Amino acid sequence: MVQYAARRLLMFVPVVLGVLTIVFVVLRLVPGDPAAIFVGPEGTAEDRRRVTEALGLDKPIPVQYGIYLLRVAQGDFGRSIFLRTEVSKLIRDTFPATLELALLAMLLTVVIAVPLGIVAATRANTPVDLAVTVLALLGVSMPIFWFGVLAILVFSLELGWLPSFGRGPGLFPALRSGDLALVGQALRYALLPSLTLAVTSIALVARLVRSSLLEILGLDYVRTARAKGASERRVVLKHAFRNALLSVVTVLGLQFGTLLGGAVVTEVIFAWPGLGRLIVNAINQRDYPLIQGSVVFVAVLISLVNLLVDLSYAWINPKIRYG
Amino acid sequence: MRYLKFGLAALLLLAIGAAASAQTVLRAGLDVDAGTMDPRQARDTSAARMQELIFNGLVTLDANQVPQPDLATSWEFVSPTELVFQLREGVVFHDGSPFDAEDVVYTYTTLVDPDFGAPRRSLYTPIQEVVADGPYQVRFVLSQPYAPLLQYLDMGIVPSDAAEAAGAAFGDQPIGTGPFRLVSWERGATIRLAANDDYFKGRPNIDEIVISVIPDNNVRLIALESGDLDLIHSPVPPQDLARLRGSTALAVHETTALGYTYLNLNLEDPLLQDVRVRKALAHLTDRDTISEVLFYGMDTPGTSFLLPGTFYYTDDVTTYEYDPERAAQLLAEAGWSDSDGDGILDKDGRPLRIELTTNVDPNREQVLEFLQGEWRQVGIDVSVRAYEWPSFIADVMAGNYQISLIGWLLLNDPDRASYLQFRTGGDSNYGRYSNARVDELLEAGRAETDPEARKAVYAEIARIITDELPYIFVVNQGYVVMHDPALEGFVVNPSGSWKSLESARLAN
Repeated sequence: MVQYAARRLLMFVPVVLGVLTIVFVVLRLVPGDPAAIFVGPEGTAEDRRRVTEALGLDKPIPVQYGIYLLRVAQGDFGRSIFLRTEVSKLIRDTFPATLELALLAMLLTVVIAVPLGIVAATRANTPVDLAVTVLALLGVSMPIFWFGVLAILVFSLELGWLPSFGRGPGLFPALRSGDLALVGQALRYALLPSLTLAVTSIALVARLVRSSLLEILGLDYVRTARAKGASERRVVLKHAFRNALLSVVTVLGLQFGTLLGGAVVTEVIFAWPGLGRLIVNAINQRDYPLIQGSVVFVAVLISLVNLLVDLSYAWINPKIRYG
Repeated sequence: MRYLKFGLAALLLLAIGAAASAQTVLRAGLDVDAGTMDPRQARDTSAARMQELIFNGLVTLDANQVPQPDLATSWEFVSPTELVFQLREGVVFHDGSPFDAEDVVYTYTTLVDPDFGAPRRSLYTPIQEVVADGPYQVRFVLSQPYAPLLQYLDMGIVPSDAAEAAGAAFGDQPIGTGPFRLVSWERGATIRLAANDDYFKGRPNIDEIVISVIPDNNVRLIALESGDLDLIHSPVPPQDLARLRGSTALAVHETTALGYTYLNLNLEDPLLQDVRVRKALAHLTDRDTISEVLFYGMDTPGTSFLLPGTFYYTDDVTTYEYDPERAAQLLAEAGWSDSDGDGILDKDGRPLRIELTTNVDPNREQVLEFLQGEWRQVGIDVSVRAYEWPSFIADVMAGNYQISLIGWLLLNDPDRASYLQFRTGGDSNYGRYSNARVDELLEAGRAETDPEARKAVYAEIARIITDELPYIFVVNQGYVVMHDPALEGFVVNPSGSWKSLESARLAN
């Protein structure tokens, strides 16, 4: 297992190199010039030339690539062109907000989707099952930005229960401070965005739990368990659900990766100061070093989550071994 | 039961949220974060808003864009190329250091230094030298007479020693003389300002300003309506403005902004080189409908680059009434006819095909889709493409477009609205317009210091431009401010300035 993990970790090197190269090349292929955006519409051609030189963008692309790789090898991802701050610091500053949102969304997914799926499966083809199925369908097909704005309209404007935007004090800082009131405040801010972010995953996972559980509940060993006189609760939760878990964990893991790297829309709607917004702004300004650094960061993160998911299989199903 | 208790505890935690504070705090919303707090490096509107609050310029522009004393008490052109300022004494920066002529010299010397990389350097290039004649007197020496200069001297003055020591980091830790000082800045999220106790015009009534960056226009407005913010301004969705006009819960102000939205015609495109075709397109551009229906009256029909509400405005320019018949006639005169009966005009076997482009922006896309329908009626094959700003502007700058819908902002002087845009070889003359008389007039307008004579110069330029149509002026942009009625004394300035917060108050 340790060997397997080490081998997988070693695989990160080509992954990082590949992502780096692709991002680097694609950025230089798409139109849009950071120097032109930097000097703005009132900048002169002379100003643009000067900025291009200062950024080293006048050098041939292979040379730029070589310089960049050399710096990355030394752990230096450069400075953002527009924010004039170390890329690594910007990622460090914004990532906690995104992680916070993703973890809460994950929590909401598990807490809401799993019971819903179980209920739907055990009451298959009843009105309860139908309701869950319809809700799940709605959740998958609803555009996130629409749900987000609607949620703000209802819970902030109409009901006045929750704040309409922002991270407030932030959950991690609040937890560190140990002040319960502050934690409460942070949760108030986080509730709508994490729910918005979770909607799609909740719907996906609920459907998946329902279908995998249904399949397993029809198997012979479940009948045996029932015949043994095990309670229905024990049959569903101990015998059947554990086996349904494998595919659920796979999807949850994939979803978590998506949540980490793809909270862009939610972060923009709720003015949540996370990594997604940082990346979007960077792309809109063609902030090459910042885009490159943050995309590589997200790629490594997703690879890491996938590795953890793979490792968890052995725990869920002891028949699975890594060698 | 255990779960129930836990749930109740969680609910209780959620309920303990809003903490009231005794200080007067103004909560404002902006669409983008400031790129920098260094006034010399400011390139976006949010950076401009911050520098007005943290710094003072030599002058400040009032709601009519007329320069008024700020750090300078008076000024005089001692010759057409020499402008002398008397400075206010006894002013201190936020770090306690005194303000004097050296700070002005430093600010403008660095600004015009090409290596400093100031985005608006081109506005100041005629400044040859800035000299301290005494501790409270500075002299601007110009390479040529430059009438717009005073309009641009509202830029914040930085403390020479502190700014030099901080270098590029000054933009993160600004030190000014202004009514508010920066307390904290969480990039992309929140800017906190506190009243400057030693402000030379007296301590502001508002103790603290908390500015939240909320990119989505709808959400920013909802935040204001639900009481999470006290003040927002443009951009505001026009349909929401229409809904909130006359609201009693909010104070809603509308005025003309210092900007216009226009169609930029690429004159290197053979199709658009015929002025009759350009005039036909102008007649097909129904500015009234665009203003009323698409912008709900927020933006008003465009006339020229001289904006209503400014001293230089004139309506004595060529205007093109919406007239599809006249347009069809002009196109026929230019030799375009539907010879093959496919519904599309053609000439010498080539169809009349035009691509309209703009950046991703719901209102601009709507305008182009509206024009697409209108222009098609007379047999022009129109396609519309809206794409993300960096790619779009790169194409426009490279002359890689036919007709683009773009806007100009912050036009606090007619020179700024025309010199780079219409001069032969001008840096922002994307469509390669060229007219010797216009070039001559643009130089004359720069040099002419008598306002009435200058006004006549720009009126003539505007007549030529509207006659030859390198631009089709679509709408003059509107500027909207909405705030909690408890905010008193906020003066709406077409430039978007928030400077009046220095004396505004927040009634309880």
